[in-house]
Amino acid sequence: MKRASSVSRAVMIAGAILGAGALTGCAGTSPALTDQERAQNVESFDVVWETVRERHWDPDLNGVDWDGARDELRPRVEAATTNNEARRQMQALLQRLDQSHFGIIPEETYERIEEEEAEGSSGEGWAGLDLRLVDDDVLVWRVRESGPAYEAGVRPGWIVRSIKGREVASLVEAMRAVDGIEPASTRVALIAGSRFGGEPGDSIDAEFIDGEDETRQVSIVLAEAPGEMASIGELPAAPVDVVARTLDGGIGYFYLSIFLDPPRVLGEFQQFIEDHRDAPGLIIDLRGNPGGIILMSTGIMNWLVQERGLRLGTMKMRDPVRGPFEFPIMINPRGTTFDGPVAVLIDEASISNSEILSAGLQDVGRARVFGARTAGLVLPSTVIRLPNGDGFQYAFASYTSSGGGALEAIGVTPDVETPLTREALLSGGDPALDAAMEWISGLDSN
Amino acid sequence: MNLTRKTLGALLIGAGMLVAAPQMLETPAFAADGEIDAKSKAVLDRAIEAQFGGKKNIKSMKRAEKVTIASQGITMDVEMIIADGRMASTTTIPGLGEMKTGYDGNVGWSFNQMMGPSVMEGAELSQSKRQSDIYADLHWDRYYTSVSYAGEEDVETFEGDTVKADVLEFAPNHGGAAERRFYSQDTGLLVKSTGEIAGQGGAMFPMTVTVGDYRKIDGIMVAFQSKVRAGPNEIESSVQSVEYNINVPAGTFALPAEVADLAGS
Repeated sequence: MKRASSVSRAVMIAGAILGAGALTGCAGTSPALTDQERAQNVESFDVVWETVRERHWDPDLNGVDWDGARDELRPRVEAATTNNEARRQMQALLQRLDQSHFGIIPEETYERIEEEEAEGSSGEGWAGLDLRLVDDDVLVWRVRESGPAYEAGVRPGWIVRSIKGREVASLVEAMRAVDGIEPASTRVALIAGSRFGGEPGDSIDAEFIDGEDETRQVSIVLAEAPGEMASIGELPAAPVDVVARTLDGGIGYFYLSIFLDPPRVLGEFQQFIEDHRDAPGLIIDLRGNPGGIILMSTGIMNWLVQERGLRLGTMKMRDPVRGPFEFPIMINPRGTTFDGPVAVLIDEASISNSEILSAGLQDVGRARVFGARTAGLVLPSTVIRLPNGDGFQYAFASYTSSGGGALEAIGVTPDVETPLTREALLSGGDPALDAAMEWISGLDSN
Repeated sequence: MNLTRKTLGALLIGAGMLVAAPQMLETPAFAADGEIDAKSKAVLDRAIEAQFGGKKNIKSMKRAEKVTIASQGITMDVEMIIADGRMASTTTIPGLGEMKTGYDGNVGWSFNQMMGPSVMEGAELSQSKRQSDIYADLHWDRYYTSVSYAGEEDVETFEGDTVKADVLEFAPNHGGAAERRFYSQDTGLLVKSTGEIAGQGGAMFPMTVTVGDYRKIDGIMVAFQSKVRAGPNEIESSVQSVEYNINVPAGTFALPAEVADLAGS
């Protein structure tokens, strides 16, 4: 069974290639079209145009003259002599919306996605390390103690040069070149990290620069991931890892790898709250969390917010009969909430629900957020295949946090930015965690 | 991986039950407080007769459904008990756990680990009361200020046929958009409805419900299949069993402790 990480990766790759596809389209090198292919491109244009017209949450389509856009661009698709020319017109149509999560994914790039996936994880193996892009280097950011990477001698702050023989620098260059929705740092972190995937027992060869600036060839033998497997619906099963512990000074620390398995996870969070009711503060670590079930955010916030009637945020959708409608996500405080200071840790690999929860806590003034700006990927979107074989990604709802701000393509800006540095990682530091602990300790001493 | 659609789907389960739940007719007469025109009254009388025939004296019911959100690959089980104007419902969703909602004759509530304890107000409470009333169509004026005839329309049924339907508009007493019900001129039975279901925070979710596969259970016509469309969501419901005049276990309608604390505060 594939992991959710592979799904995230596929989406990220799709997003990245979305931009790449547009660039490819500009190159105009695809072969001339048959009559059937030309007809399929026109049909695809119509599907794109109709889908946006019917499904977009804003009936005014962000103020775009949609009929006029069709009148202008459809003849160009009819006249296109290559698939790339046709795609460019469809992309031009979608660009008029000036919103993310709308794009054409060329058919050829599905093959590239499959290739990238093949390079990434296809099993349940786990290397026990996380990567982040810092300046021009991909650094080992977190190494799980006693995990496979740790046992192989890998330590935070090491520079990753290659994984499975593939140079990491070329990945960084490629991701920076594409005009995708996601920040390059997010794409690199996810894609590079996925290359350490595989089946338990697989050996992943990688080249690092260690803390002494020496080149190290390391083989990491994958293990079973910590946490319990969970899934919902069509979502592939993923290991849900929860770490609840007490840090120095009695500060409570709660880490969640993904928002799945609410009965178990929220039960553990409840226990965490009860165990730390008298703690000087709590830290919730959402770094690297790719999101999941949105209502798990309220399931956590309900233990941290006393005031009734507050919203986590609002979704806006459109009904085919009644038109636009809003879906407020309400906070319903539990009987005995934790009322002390709360810190949330985020970074560029905090995605979707991680962003929604951290923004929600920030907006109601219930948490101070530390780390790096999040990915800005919060719109619910889906991808359908068009008659010409291309993919069409479109968002079907908007999301605004309780403060009224959109998170899409913007992300959550931390209250305290704590840039990662190789030096800090090599010396065993964790800038975001350290800053959060210092903040809580400072409040406690006052 | 946002699961908003699933959430909305769970919320809309109530919509399916609302329409498909049998309403009992004691006598084919209406209270006079609300406004209803003669044509509407005739259509509604016929619908009630078509659904319930001469069946009387239902005091309680238990209903089990499977609800599917095909696009998400999710199937959930819903069990609902109604008795004496009270209601208790449990939705079990694999991967999400249990979501409970109820009305104890005074307090409408919902509770689950994700959404926490909630006490209903306004339109949400009004709809919960109506859902807890087996005889709701008999005294429709408790829930609507008026019923008016809105003409006839061709309607595509759940089975995919097109039938001529009489359209009635019910104006909810809590305000908001009118509920439109479509009754087949052939059978007199409800085939479709459009309206809104209330949610927390004053939210009103639009929905279109198509019902079909009517089967007679203890003399009552029950729609065994329904399809709910709301925004980008499509949810199908299939009734598994319906029982009438059951023994209701003690404590069925009791409020969860956190809800009771909230309701008392």
